Amino acid sequence: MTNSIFWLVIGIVILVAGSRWTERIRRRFPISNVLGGGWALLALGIAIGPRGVGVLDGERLSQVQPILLVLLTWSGVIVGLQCQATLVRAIPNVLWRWITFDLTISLLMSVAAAGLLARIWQPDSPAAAQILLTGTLAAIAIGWNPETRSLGIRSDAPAMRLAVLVQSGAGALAICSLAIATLALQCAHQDFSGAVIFAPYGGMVALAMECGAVIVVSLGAYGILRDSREDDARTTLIVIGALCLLSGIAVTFGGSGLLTGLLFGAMIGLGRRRLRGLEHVLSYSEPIVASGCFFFAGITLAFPGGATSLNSILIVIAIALSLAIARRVLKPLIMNVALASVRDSVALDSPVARAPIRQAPLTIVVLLAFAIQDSSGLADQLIGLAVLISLMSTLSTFWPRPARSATK
Amino acid sequence: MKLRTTTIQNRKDRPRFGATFLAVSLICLVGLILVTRELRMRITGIPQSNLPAAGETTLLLGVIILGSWLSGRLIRRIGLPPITGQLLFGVLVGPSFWSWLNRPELSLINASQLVSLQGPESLAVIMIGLVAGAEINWPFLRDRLRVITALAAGQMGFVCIAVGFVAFAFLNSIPQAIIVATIAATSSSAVSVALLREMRHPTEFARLLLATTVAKDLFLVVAFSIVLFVIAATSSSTHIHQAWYWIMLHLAGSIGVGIALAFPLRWALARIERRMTAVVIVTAIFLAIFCSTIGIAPLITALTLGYTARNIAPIVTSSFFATARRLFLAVCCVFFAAAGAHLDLSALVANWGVVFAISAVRFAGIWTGATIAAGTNGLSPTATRWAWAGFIPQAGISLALAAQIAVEFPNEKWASSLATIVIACITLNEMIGPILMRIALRKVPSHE
Repeated sequence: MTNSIFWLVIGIVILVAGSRWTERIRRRFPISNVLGGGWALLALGIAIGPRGVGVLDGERLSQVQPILLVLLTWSGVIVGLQCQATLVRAIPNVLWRWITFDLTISLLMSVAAAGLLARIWQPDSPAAAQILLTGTLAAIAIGWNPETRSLGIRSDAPAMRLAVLVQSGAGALAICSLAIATLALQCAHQDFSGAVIFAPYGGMVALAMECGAVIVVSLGAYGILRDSREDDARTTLIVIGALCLLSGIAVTFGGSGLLTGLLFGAMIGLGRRRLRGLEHVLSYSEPIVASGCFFFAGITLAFPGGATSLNSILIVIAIALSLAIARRVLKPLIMNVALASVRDSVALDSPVARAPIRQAPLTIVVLLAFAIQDSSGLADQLIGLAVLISLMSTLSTFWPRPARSATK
Repeated sequence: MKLRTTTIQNRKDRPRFGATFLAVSLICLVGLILVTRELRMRITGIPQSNLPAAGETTLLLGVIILGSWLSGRLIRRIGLPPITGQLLFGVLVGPSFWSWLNRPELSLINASQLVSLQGPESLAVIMIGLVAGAEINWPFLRDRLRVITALAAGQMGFVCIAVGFVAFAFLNSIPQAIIVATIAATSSSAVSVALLREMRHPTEFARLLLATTVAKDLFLVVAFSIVLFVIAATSSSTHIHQAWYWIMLHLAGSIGVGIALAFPLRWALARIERRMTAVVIVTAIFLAIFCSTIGIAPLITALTLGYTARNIAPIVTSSFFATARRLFLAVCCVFFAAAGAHLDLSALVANWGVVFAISAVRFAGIWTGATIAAGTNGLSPTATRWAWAGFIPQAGISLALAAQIAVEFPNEKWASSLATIVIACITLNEMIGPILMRIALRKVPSHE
């Protein structure tokens, strides 16, 4: 009976997350990114998960792992599908510059933060741990939240131009973040005993096999979907089948489905013909997938450091705060430097300019992919850390209040 | 200009997926899985995953969905219904076929892996029930009640009598002969609705076949319960209250719950406009959980729910059922491929004599009963000639009833061997039934 209740809870959660009521609530509040966008579901996951009231325990969670795997692959496909030939060609030089700056500085910041965390964590193999932590922290640091609506809409052309740059940059950096994090996870991973090892050969072989499988599946799916002519039933079938297949293949080779999904999405996106049926199915399902991932993240996350002593709590809050402050300081700086040449045509003083401060929601998905492969509990704590940083960085966009611009 | 028009027309008429493309895709799919597994086993140093079972489930589900769809499309190229291709794919990747050839290691899905597909299978049964129920509307049922009753009664009468005699000749037991005869009279709602949905515009004849199948199966489930109850009551080794419990659950429970749930569903659908795919899936999950928790029959419950909801609020539920039909293709692929993987070919081979005799008599009984009933109730000559073919397929309900024999008589030696014979008969009808039904649906014009 408890099992039935568990499945029912999962179903109702997905339903409520995708309902119009949730959307209405999210739009009503000015701080929608905290209350909406999956955070409420994350809180619900914490409440009913093993670290909350404990309705869902480890055994029941293992029963829904196939759903989680498919959700992760689905997220990968949604990100990868942004990699369309026409969109890539349309990226202006200024945005390429912004992306490169953000990527470089975020990676450097991740290496430094990983060194610090590795000292606290004290793993058996510091080099492997450094790579693993750099990969996961890079996922936290790279990119930003593409959502701009909650920051206040200004309909003048410079603000709109900046909003487009923010959204396009977030999309491109999401691809980079996902690729870097999953590659790091593939090369530095845990063995049967839970110790972190660095196995680049095995990781690369697995990656090559995943790529081979993705190419075969993508070509077949593209061929079928291209000729399906907006047939919804057939598109749904191919999407579900391909997602299941890709997540299964990824797990077989020690991955999580994020990378295979990303590659699949990119291959489909780069195809000569746009598959509008597939795009429709994926965009329709996006809120449900995001909500599902956040709910599972809530169930999985643990307080970093285990919350055993006041000391460890303070250390973790200090780390989160320092990373959030780093975002608050560095992200606007990077944006100002990268966009200096077009300062006159984009509104760098508009509320939209604060969007890069907020952490990308995809971070949670990447860490969730790490969590399902990790048996040491490190990933659970990293999700906790990412949630803290995300909340702090989101709240930091409201302070100091942006000055009113003269531009109407 | 004429030449150009002809070229465009030819291009439109050209099949979208060539047989070569489909065959190559299918081979690539199966090859991909085999290569993946082989490499995973041979190459060391690949990161170990903590999720082998979950990954295996999604992998198999992907293979089944894509593989059975490709097989269905491929078999359609030679004029057979896609269901046959889906069943054949299930047989080829399932454990039974390769065990029969004494090469069990070659099967893509082994017996233990089949268990992991129970969840998707039960969801598929619910979805089939919902769509089948929604295909029958009350005005159609009211106008055609006399024909439906006659068709159902005619077949059941002839099949029960003819199969009963043949089964008695082989088994030398009246209770066993009655059990075999009752199950032989059942048909497959799943196959009927799958073939009906395959048609771009379902005909009146197709709807008539589906309505008759559903009505007949509902009646036979009750009849089978009573038969089991009577046999159990006369047998000292079985608890009578178990049989009563089963009857109550399968008759009143399933139908009552289906009707009762239609009202909250209507209430919810009146308030939900978006994310209908999630609503359909959540409803199916809820029904599957609810049925397994209180032990009622999922197919009958879903059928009743679909029928009631569709008829009490046709406008409010239209979007819900349209989405269910969109998901139906994937559902059919899972259901029929899994059904194929479950088929027991060794039982069919071991009991071929009795199986062919029973199936031949069943065939004759259905033909006689359906033809007489159709002819005397005003169906067109073509419909009268082909009505029988719609009742040959057997699948879900028949298999559930066959499984119930072993459950109800766990201490009787005859129970397991009888179940094997019945399942072997169902296997044969499951393979040839869809082909015959597809021919019938094509032969009868859409206006009849």
